[in-house]
Amino acid sequence: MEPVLKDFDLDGMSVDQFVGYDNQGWLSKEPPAGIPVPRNLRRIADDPHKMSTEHFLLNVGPSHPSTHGALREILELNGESVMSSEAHVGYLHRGIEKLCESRQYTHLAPLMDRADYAGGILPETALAHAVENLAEIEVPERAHWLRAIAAEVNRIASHFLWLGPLGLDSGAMGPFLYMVRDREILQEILESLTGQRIMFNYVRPGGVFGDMTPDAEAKLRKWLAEADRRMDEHWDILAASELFQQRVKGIGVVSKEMALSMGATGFVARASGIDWDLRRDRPYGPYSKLDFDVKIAQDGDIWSRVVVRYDEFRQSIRMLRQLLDGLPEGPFMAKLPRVLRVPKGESYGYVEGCRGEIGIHIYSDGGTKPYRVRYRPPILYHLAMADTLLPGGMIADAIVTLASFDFCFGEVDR
Amino acid sequence: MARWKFPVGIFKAMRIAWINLWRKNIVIQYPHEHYELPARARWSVEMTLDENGHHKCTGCKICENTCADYIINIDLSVDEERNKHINHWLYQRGACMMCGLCVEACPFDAIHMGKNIELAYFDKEDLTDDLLTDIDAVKPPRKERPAPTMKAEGGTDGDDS
Amino acid sequence: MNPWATGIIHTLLLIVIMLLNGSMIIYMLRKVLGHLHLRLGPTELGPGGILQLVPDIVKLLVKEDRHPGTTDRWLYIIAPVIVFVPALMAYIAIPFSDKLIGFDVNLGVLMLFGFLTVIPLGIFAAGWGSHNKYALIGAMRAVGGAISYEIPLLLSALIPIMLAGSFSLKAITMAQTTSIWYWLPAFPAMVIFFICSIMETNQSPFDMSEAESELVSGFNTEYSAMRFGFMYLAEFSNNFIMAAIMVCLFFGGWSLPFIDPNSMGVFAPIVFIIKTYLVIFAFMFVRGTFSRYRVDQMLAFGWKKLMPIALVYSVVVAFFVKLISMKTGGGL
Repeated sequence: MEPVLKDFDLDGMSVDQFVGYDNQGWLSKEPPAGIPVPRNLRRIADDPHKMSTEHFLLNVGPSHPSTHGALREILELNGESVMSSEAHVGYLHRGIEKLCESRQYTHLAPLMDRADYAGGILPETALAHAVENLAEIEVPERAHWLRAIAAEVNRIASHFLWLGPLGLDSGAMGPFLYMVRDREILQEILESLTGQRIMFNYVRPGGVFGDMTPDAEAKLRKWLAEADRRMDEHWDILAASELFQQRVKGIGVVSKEMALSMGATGFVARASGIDWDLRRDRPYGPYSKLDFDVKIAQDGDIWSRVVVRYDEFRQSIRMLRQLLDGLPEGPFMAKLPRVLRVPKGESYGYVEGCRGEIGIHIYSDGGTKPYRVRYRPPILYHLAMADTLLPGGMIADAIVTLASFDFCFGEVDR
Repeated sequence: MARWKFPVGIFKAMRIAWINLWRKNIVIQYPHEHYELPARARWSVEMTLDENGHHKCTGCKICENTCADYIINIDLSVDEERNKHINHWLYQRGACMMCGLCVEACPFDAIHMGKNIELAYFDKEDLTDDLLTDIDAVKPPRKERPAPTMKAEGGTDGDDS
Repeated sequence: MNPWATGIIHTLLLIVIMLLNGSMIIYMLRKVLGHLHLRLGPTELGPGGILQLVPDIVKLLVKEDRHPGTTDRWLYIIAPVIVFVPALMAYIAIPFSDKLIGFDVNLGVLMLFGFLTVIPLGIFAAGWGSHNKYALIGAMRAVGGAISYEIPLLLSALIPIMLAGSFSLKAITMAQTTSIWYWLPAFPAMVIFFICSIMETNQSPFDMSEAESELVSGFNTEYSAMRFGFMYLAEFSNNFIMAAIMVCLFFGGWSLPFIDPNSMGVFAPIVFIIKTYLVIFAFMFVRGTFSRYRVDQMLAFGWKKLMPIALVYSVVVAFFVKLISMKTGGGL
């Protein structure tokens, strides 16, 4: 554990005094009075031979075919049932928030791409909102619409990257490749628009990097012409089959109270019955002019999340048609100085990300580089729920539950 | 057993799989076929040549100060009449993340993002490329010289570090 | 001729058939799964990638055979043998044509299923001897599944036996040439046999024992090089044997609908092999399409749904067979 803020005063304390984990996952020493102990951890390693021998610990380790990214999950198993579980994160920590303090505001976009790598446009948009709020920059209308087009295309691509591995974790190899085929088409569209397939560096404070090219527009229209038929096929191959439904119904139930108290947002909250979508309730950009529905499910199990997300696909396709037809004329970038100097203060920019609410809180001290950037990762709070959801099921349920939350470990660890 | 419904979904899934079995594959067989890159695609940085085949770099070092990962290193030597001579224009191709910020920052259009995708090498020395060696820097035309917000030779501006 | 010499020649011939089958099925698996997943299979070596198998075999032979020090050495070594040898032995009783059969045993079907029952024991030995938690879980699941799916398998195999009146595979095939093929009167039995064969060969949607996304490779996590090669080859042989039994029991073996079976001559084994590979294609198609069952759901499906249906249907068929034999005063 290291202090991150530059003005945190250790005051003579050494970092060792904080309770930490060593490799085995045991507490390294007795916790001093007053520090809360995580609820799942029950053993203190003074004598490993005193452990009971009925349950055994399985390390679904950082490199495993089905942990999406680098998650170490320690499961205590009794045969096939999970007794307790513990998640260890931090294998992908790159210090993004600290790196942001050494870059100018207009150069922060590549770092935000790497936080949520599956849907990169959305954290960039959140950063742009935060900086525009603080520096009071007027963004042209066409830039808002272009940002929304890129965001929705990216949302669909990110959802494909979730659905394919969900099928793969439950055993079906075919659907994964059909979704990869569609995701390739979307990545080609984004490549024609922004220049890269994953790390876009497209949305800047003040607008976007480049205008819509005729190439990208043609490819997007061609895809939209048959997008509905393809979504029907994706529904039939995976979600309509009873084998898949039998695997996911009634498992991993997140109740409404748990979702509210743990800070779940996005599709996890909508699947548990909370009626909240940032695009509709706190609209930004062109979303107040678009016509779309928001689906709410009541059960909170994996099947509800799958259903809510399938509907998000269809609504994004609907929004893309309206966005392409209604794109206004005008400039795509505001007139900004080469080096942006932002006045002193703090602001919070938010978007409805692919996995929940992405929020970026910037604290600026009046210079060209931010003083502190805090990235609110939506999935960290969902992962905190996982330790409560996994016990009581079997290993197969644990794997599918973890896959259904759509983890993207760049966001959790930053 | 009373509530057992006939598993229609299984047959729907099999139908989709059967259709996909006869569709064209999505494979581009790499050494024999190549992928067509769009116009905006960003791969490693290359020098832009004007119509005489000459480079356009003036040695102002704006790109070096813009690059966030310190990948570009321009080694200049200035003689008495303030003519700049580029000894080395070092570019660490292996570490570049191809964000394109240097290309946007250059006021003279001297560099562009190329489209060469075959960037794997056997030797570690090939990862650092020397784009201009021992060549005179171009004098910027008087009229369109921009007022730099950063000093040209790597100086600092207030609280940049 | 000296019976020892004929015995040895037959054994060598069976090994050659097994290896040829294995290589054909591996090639077919890669190509079928490739096209099902919108990609090509191997294409570089040989025309259409046929020779891809050669470097694979060389790789398996040349790899280092390394195992962790804490394995139970005797079980670890013997497990691939237990998995491989019954798969080889089962080729004896399969009729490729009315003259090409290893040994026309009276109780052919029973003997074959007896051999195939030994294989889960080998899988469990592999999982236990590996001293690896993932392997142990995979092995336990495999044994549980195999035991619970053997009963519907045998019950559904009993129905063509009753219809034909004999246990010998050759006799069942010959009996189908004089009446319709048994897949039509015994349709539920065919479906149950298909499902149980997928379980016995450890394929998706029943591949609990080597569920790649949960347990890294199931019971053969700790095996490398040729020991893994044995188990891999045994899995493909198993595929062929189950498909061959299914063809003999339900689809008329080597006979075609309107042709006199005795005049087929050299075409008989070719027809038999083509039919078997069509059934294997169906196995692979199901493999690449469906999700996996969870363990308890799989066991519930086997015990609560398949077994009652098989039991009831076999009683029904027995009833009708007896009725018809009483009416016509003799066999079917």
